[in-house]
Amino acid sequence: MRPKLQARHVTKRFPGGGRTGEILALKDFSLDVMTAEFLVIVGPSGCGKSTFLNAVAGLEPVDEGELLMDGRLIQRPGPERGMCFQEFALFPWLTVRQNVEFGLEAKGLPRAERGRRASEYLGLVSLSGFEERYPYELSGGMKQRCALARLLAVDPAVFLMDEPLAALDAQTRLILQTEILRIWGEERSPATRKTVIFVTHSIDEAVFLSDRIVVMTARPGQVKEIVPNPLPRPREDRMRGDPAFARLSMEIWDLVREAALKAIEL
Amino acid sequence: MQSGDVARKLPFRAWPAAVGARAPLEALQRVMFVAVALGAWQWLAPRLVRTGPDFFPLPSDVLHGFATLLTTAEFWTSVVSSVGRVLAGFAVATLAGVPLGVLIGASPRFEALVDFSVEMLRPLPAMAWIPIAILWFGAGDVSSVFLVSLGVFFPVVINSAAGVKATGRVYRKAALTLGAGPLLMLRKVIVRGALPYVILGCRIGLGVGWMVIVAGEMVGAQSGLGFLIMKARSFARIDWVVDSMIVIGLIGLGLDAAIVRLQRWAVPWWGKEGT
Amino acid sequence: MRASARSLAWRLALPLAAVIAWFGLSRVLTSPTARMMFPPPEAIYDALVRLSTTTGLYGIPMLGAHMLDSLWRLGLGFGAATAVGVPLGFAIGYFRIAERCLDPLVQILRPISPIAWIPITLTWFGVGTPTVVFVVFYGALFPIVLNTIGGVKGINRLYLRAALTCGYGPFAILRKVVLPAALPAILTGLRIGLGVGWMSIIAAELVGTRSGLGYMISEARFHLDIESIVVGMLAIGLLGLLTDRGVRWLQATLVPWHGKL
Repeated sequence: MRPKLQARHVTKRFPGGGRTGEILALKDFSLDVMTAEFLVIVGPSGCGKSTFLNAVAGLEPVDEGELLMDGRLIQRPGPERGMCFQEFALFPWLTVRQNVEFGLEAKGLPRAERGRRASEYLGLVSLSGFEERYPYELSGGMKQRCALARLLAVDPAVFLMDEPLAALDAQTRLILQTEILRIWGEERSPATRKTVIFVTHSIDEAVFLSDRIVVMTARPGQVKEIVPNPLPRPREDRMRGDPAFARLSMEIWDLVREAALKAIEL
Repeated sequence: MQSGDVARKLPFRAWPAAVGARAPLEALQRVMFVAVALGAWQWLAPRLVRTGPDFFPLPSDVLHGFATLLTTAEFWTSVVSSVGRVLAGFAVATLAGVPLGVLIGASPRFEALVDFSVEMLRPLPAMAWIPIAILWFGAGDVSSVFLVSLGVFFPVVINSAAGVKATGRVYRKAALTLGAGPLLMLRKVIVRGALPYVILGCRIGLGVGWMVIVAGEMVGAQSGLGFLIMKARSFARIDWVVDSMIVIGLIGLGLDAAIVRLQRWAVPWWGKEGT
Repeated sequence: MRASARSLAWRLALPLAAVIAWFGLSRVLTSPTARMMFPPPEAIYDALVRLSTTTGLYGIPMLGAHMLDSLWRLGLGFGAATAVGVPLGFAIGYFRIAERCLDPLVQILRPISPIAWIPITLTWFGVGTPTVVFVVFYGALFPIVLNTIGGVKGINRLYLRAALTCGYGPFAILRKVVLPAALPAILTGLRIGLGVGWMSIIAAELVGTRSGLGYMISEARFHLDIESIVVGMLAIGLLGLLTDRGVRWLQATLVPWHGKL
C-alpha cells in the first residue's frame, strides 16, 4: 500500500544566525507516513520538527527534496492537511461557533448547514453549550478542544499537530491525550481513522499516543530512528503504570538524550 | 507585632490598592483634596495675583461666566461648528486612512513604496499646515475640515498598518490550513484582527483632530470654539475664556469616551487574557 | 530580506515621482494666481536661499534665527516639563499619599489641551517667549507624568517583593528597582511629550509671539508669501524629525534591553 505522505531527502534552510549566515533546519530528511497511522515525532528543541510540519502543511517551501501526499507534490496549504497549533490559534474575534464554521465557510457551505455541522463537532469535543463564547472566556483545554473541532469540521485527510498540548497544565494534558485518541477513532475500525502526524517534546505523550515514534537528531534535523509502538489499543491511563510502557519510554529517552543534551549546549 | 506589619507600613505599592471597605475612604480623600485645591484658588489666589474676570478668574467668576455664556446663541453655534468640523474631517480621514493603512500592513511591497514618504511627512505637525490651508482654502469650513483630516490621517494609517501586521502570523497560518481563500482571509482574518488597532488609531487621531480644529479656529476662522475663545479674550472676558477651556476639555473627553464605547462594542475580546 | 538596489529604488520611487510631477505641473500652471497657490520648485529654492542669507538681528540669517528661537523655547519648556513631570510621576505612582492629593488634579487638568491654554496665557504673560514656553511646558507635562506613573505602577510587584525580602527599604528600592524598571516607559513619555510639545509650540507661535518658525509661517501667510510658508514647513518637519530621532537614539542607548516600539 502506498504511504499517505512521503518525504524524500528534504532539506530546508533558513537565513540568518550561525557562522555561515544560515540555519540548516532539515537535512536529507526522509520519512514515509502510512494511511490511518498515528505517527509521533520526538526530538530536542530546534531539531526541525516544527519546520517539517510546516513544510508538510505547505506553509513553507523546501529547498531540496520532495514532499508528496497520495503521490502528488505538496505545493500550497489546504484543508486536506489541517494543522493544530500549540498556541491554539483560535481567532479571538470570532465566537467558538464562528471559529468552527470558519473552514466550512471557506468551502462555501450555506449558513444553516455550517451551523448544524459546527454544533455536531462541538458536541464531539464536549463543548456543547459554549458556542457563543469568545476564546478568551475559555480555559486552555477548552480552547484546544475548540481548535480540534475547527479542524474536524473541514474533515482533513491528514492531521498535523504541532505540540498542541504543550501549553496546557500537566493534568489537562493527560486528559486531553485520551480525548484526542477517542476523537481520532481509536475505538472504531482503522478504516475510519485519519492520518495524524503529532509533534511533541514529551516522551510519555509519544508512547501513549503513537503507532510509531520517529526520533529526530539535533539540528540539522534527520531521522535518527523509527520505533514501532507495540502497546495494545485502545490505550488506557492504567497502561502508564505498566512495565512495557516504562521500557518503551526508556528506550526512546536513550535515543533522544544525547541529542537533547547537545541542544541545550547549542 | 504581627507578621507582615513592616510591609504594610511602607508607603509604596508593594501590595494592591485598597479594595472593599477602604475604597470609599480613598475616594473621599481624593474629593477632599480637590475641594482644598479649589478653596485655595478661591481664597488664597486674590492675595497673590490680581484676580477678577478680566485677568485671573476665580471659581466664582468661572461659574458666573457659565451662567451668562450658556445663554448666548453664539456659544452653542460655536460648539456645533467645531464639533461638526471635527467629525467631518474625522470621517474623511478614516475613509481614506483605514484602507491605506490596511494595504500598507498587508503588502510589504506597497509598504516599501510609501514608507519613505510617510516617515517624511509624519514629523510635520498638523498645526504647521494651518497657514497654508488658510491661504489655499480661505478661513472657513473647507480649511478646517482639511486640517482635521490631516491631523487624523497619520495616526489612523500608522495604527491600521500596525494592526494588520500585528495580527499574528499564526492566525494566518491557521486560516490557510483551514482552506481560506484570499477574500475570506482578508475579510475575516486580516481586517477583523486589525480592528482593535484601527480603532486605537481612530481614538488617537480624533484627539489630535480636536486639538487641531481649536488651533485652526483660533488663527483663522470666523466661527467655532477656537474663534470664540479668542474673541472672549479680546473683550477681556477671561471668565468666558476659562469656561471655553473647560468646554473644550469636556468635548474632548466626550469624543474619546464615544470611541471607547465603540471599542467595547466592536471588539469586546480586545485586551483580554490571551489576545 | 532582499535588501538590494532594487529595493532602494522602489522606496524612493514615490517621492521622486512626486517631485517630477511637481516640476511638470509648475511648467503648465503659469498664471500668477496659480503660482501663488502652487509655487514651482525654483521659487521654493529661491525663498530658501533668501531666508538663509538675508540676515536679521545679530547678523544671523532669518531662517536660522527663527529655527533657533523655536528650538530653545522648545528646549526650555520640554526641559521644565521633564524636570517637573518625572519626579511628579514617580511620586504619584510610588507613594499612595501623593497619589491621593495630586492625581485628581492631574486627571482634571489633563483633558484641557495646551492649545486651549494659549488665550489665557497670552493675557497673563503677553506676546512673547514666556507664553510659548508655558504652553510647551503644559503640553509636554501630561504625557510625561502619565507615562511615568504608568511605568512605576506597571512594575511587576514581584520585583518589589523580591527587593523587600532582601531587606531594602523604600528609598533604596526606588533607586535600585523602580527607576531602571520604569525607564522605558519614562522615555516613551518623553517621546510623546516631545511630539505634543512640537505641536504646541507651532500653535503657540502662530498667535503668541513675534519670532520663531510658527510666527514665520503665519507672517508669510499675511504677505501671501507661500514660498516662505513652504520653507518654514520644511524646517519644522526637519527639526521635528531630528528631535524625534534624538529621543529614539536616547531610548536605544539607555534601554537597549527593551523591545522595539
